[in-house]
Amino acid sequence: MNCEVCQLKELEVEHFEIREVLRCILHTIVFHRALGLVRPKDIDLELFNITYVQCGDVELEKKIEEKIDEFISWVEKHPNKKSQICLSFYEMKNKHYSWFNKNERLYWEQWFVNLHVTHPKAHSGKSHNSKPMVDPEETGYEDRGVRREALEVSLRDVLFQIIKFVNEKKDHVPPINEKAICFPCEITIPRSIVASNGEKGFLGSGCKQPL
Amino acid sequence: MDMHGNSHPDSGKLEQIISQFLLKSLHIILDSRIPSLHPHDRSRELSSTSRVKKSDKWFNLFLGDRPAALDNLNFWHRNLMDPMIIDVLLVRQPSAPSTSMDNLYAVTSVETVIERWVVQYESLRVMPPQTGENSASYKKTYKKSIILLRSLYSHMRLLPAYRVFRQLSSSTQTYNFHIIYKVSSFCEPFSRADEEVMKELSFVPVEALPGRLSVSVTYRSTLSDFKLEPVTTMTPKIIMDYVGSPTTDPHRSLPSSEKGVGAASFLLRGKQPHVSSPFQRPHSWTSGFHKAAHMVSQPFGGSPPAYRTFRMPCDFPSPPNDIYGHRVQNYRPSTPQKATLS
Repeated sequence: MNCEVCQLKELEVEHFEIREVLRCILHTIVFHRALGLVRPKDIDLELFNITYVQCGDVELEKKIEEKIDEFISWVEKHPNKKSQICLSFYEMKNKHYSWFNKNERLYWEQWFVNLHVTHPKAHSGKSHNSKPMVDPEETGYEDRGVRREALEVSLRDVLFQIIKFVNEKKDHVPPINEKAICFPCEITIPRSIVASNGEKGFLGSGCKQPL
Repeated sequence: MDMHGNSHPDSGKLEQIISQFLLKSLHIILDSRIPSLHPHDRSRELSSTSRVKKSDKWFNLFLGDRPAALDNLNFWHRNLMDPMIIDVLLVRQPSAPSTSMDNLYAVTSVETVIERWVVQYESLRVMPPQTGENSASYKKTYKKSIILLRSLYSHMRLLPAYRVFRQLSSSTQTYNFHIIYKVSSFCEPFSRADEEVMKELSFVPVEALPGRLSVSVTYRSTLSDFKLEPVTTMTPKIIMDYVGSPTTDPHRSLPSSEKGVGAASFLLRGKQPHVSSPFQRPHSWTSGFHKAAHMVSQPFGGSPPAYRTFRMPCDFPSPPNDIYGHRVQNYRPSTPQKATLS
């Protein structure tokens, strides 16, 4: 079985935006892989003019919130870093060996959510030239507004990217289990420290490599 | 919807999938575009206690009560090979009537197609090689259709028209626009001017041998040109000092108050008029009055009928006249180069 991998476009987010952005992305992916009977739930983001869809499964919602909490804690300890959250879908296969049975996870799809968590730039109140100084607060608001708009566009691009991927790749999706809402999945927070210059160092991989 | 253990032949199952796919697509599209279909249910969340009927379980996507209009689709859409074309139109309400008699009949609504969805089962020109697993092919088709409809559902919320729908749905305010739809198997091509402001998008078709299910949309990439504004309505007002009334013509007497006043009462759109004085009274006119009154007495709250009637010669038994747009048998809209969802 081939494992399809999707690397989502990297988003530059500030700390307070992480939760909303991750909820939006993870739930959108899950909604397209929750192929059991669902009652879709439309959710409006508070920070952005975007509505995404949840599949309505309470357990999944809880799982996603826990992982987002875990990621936020990790980010607080490793500020200003690029990072990945990996959402994987798998099947449980029973491997029969001569002397024991082993259940093994066969991953058939992996999604990598790429975030670069930044801190807002501080504005200096000092001016060393004779020209009249622009109010730094006003400049700050404008910058934040421009940045927020750009992030909203990028987040929308990521959602379109997800929809495009699920439309293009359908053959690898296993048969639907009518008793479950969603395929078994796991969300892993890589314990990798990725410096802003792109150098990676994995301390412990939480993501499986494609088979 | 359980597709296992069904004793019907495969072709019957496939036909069921195709016809339910058309219904579900229409439901998804109208549910997130037409406020008037759910006038009392502004909440977009489906209650977990809502009863799920068997028909709702198709494609494992429960959308709640199906609008009554969809029940007529089966009656109308007899030929599964006909495309189902759904136009979503933004209708600008008539503007405030002018005092000039020449402009009296210029008070018309303006309709603009903001989205055109085409859902169809198309036959394949070249048949792919048979894999020998025909009995399971309808199951694969069904699974892939579920995925396609999920992505259609998400996509509906990301296109520009969704914000307009939300604005018109979420408030008790009446706006100068409303949204209607037309469903037909025929459509007029867009003008060149319209094409320039529209984008096209196609979802990857789902194989459903001997054909395939496809969904595509042509949509306006921006709706910022349409200025949605709340409309202030006046309460009906008896105009006592109309031209020729006893209050302005002392030689005429007022009718009995028990019979009501002879002046007409009508609704005005737009801003509040000036407070009345004989020289600053609300506009009134007599010529073509009844026509004007008819035109301005359209209900403000809620949408007008979300359909149009066109009479065209056709070979189908006529659908109920108040349902869908005109249609021509065996017409296929041209399919210009489109961007696929890839």
